[in-house]
Amino acid sequence: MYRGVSPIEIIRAKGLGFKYQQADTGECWALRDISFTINKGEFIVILGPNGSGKSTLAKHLNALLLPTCGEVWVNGLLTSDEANHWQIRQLAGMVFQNPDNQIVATTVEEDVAFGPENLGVPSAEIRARVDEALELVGMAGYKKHAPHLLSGGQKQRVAIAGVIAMRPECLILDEPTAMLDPRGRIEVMETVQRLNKEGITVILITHFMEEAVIADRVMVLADGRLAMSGTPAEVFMRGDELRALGLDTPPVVRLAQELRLAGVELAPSVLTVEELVSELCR
Amino acid sequence: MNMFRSITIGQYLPGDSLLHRLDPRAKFIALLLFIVAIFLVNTYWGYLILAVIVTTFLFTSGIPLSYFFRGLRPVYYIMLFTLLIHIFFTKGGSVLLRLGPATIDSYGIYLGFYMVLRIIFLVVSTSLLTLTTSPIALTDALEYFMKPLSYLGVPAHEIAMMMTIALRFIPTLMEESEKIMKAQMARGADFESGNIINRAKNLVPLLVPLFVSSFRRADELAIAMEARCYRGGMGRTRLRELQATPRDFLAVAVAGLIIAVIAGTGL
Amino acid sequence: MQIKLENVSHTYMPGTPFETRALIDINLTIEQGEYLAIIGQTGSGKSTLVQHLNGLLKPTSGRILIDGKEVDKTAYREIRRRVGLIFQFPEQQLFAETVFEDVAFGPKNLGLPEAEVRRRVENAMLLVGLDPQELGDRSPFTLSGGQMRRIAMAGVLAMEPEVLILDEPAAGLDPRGKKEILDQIDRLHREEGLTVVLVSHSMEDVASRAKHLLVLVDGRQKMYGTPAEVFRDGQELAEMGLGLPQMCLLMHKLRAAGKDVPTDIFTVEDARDAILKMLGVPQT
Repeated sequence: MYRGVSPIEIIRAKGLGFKYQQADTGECWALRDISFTINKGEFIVILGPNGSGKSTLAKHLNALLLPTCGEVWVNGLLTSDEANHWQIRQLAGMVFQNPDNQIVATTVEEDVAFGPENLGVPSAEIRARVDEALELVGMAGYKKHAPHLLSGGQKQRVAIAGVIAMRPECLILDEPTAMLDPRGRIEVMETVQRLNKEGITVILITHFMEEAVIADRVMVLADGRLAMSGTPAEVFMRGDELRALGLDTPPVVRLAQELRLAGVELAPSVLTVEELVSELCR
Repeated sequence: MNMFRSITIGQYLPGDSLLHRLDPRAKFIALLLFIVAIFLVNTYWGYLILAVIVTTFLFTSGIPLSYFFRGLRPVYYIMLFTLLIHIFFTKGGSVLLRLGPATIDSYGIYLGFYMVLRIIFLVVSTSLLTLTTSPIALTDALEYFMKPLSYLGVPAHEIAMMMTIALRFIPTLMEESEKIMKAQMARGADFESGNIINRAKNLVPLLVPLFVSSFRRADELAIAMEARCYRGGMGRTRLRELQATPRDFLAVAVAGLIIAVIAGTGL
Repeated sequence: MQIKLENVSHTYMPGTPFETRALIDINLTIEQGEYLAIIGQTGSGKSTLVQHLNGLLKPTSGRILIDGKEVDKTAYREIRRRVGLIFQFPEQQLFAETVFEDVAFGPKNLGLPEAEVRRRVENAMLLVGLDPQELGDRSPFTLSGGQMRRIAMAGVLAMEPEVLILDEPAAGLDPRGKKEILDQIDRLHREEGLTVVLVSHSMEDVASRAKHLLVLVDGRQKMYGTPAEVFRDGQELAEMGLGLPQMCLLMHKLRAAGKDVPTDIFTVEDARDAILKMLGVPQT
């Protein structure tokens, strides 16, 4: 969270609703009456089961989709105004779930350059931005590599670099780790945390509960509605509600809850293995 | 089984030879000139010169010879076919052999070998280009050559972008085909036997999933490109601008000289 | 049936600059009724290994024995029938116009009579928790991702294999979907008597379910044993980039802090009991 100074708002959604046509069942509301604000520098995790509308929400945050009702502002720019679209997409960069389907070029550096090239940045400056972005995600040694020969985690880091090279304020990641192995997930999560420390606002969409533990704030989406919102500790306290929505808590949070029921005194903020160990060894 | 992986013809092999370092546009023009030379030549001396040039480049390119010739395997059949066609059907010169109504003539053998030599030079020189030039460099060169056409309304940028995306996704789709094929084979599908109609029918379980996934990929890629502010070639800059050096001009000049010598001396 | 691998190695594209050794000297016996989990990073050779188990790939060296007999060319079709392989994201292989036709693809390839095909399709759909009457005539492409995955699984089960191999069956699913699929596999193992080979990179998913674990690193067999045996040395697994299940990790850390707790614990319930015992809290 942006500590010290008063928070500066970067994204605001007000009464956001989105309706789409389905082939057999007709109209369907994917999002209903969603309102929230996100401040600069925050690390937000959006949780939700499959089909809860997470991806649809993400696409509203950089004007890839436009609300049926309600409004979304990015850095004070209204997404429903088409004149703002390119600026919004530069400010709020997006990384998608399938690493294969977002890499355009045949080498790593060419792909990272794709965004800046579209923005009309001069060649020399593109070179500098590409090198810097690849350095930031730890892929500087792979400039000339062909994307299809990289691992899933490496591909996602290339995709993140491609967004960083556009100098965004805000990084939206739509289930970036869903198709990765544990090592790939760790690579991506470490990269995202590092970027957040550099000051970039992060909005991470996931259904891995462990990834929500490090967030400043967690929002839970269910059936197109904002069902819960709060710090990870606040949200994971409501384990039964989460399970009813098809989600879960990390095993260690469930264990802490079980131990409390059995009369063991534990701080309410236990979210990780390390925290539980230090509580139990006190 | 890994049918797609075994196709190596013309697949780029990174390296640092003279050929690797030349500007792709220079290589393109030099290759075109060389191909003209191949068709101009019709004496053994001329072929000897071409052979010396090609072998020199082949040996200095750093490409393992076994890899190079393995990649040419499909072409051997075309060469054999060409040779046989000429031997049996080209008439002229003296009759060497008489098999009932058919004859084998000396001119047929002569022309057959000439044609095979030409095919060898064509294939070897072209694969030298594709083996030493990365697909992006090739695309860049094509986009450069097509630029004048954009004034005539030809979408040069879009064509180049399509080529880049095609190059990017060919390996991905090959991997995917292999995976789907295996998945269907695990359910008893047979892609290898039967007559033509049956084989075509048997491809349905491969082609339908491949189409479905290609459309999904195309859709997701389009959204990802839009998210990264892609809006066509207008106002777009490039990471790498092609830069020709004196060496590149020299390469083109040398190729031109070879043609001039061949045409002038009637080799 | 018993599958035995003796010194099996596999090399892709031998003799080219792209040569890769995907499997190196694997020795493994899969007994009837086994529940084996194969764990490793992407690129560790997991997928290559399982494709050897049903004859989709042939070893570059070494041999494969089925019920003690070496597999030869003529036996591959037979093995594919007896060993069902479900690839990762199997919903991507659906192709037919109706769910019924898609599930029937395998049995039809076996040349079975129509009545038998119908029986197998309906049975397979019931096994994965789908209603053949309700969904049989629908197009598979109009269904949800989770349903599509079940249909693809039914397509393999309809071959009525004795061994079922699944490559990351829960990939991309949310917690509930994941639990449902894994429970379903447990049930197939328990109630239908299927031998199960599960390929996974999630320690959490396999620790409490599998009988044996095989850990692959760079194409080599690094560890083999029961979950308790494999997870005994947490440090070694961590060095391979494969995490421990969270509960097991917790026990290792408590032990490192000087507490007397067992380390072969994989479920929240067992962990609770162990910690209560450690704290001396009476249990109800």
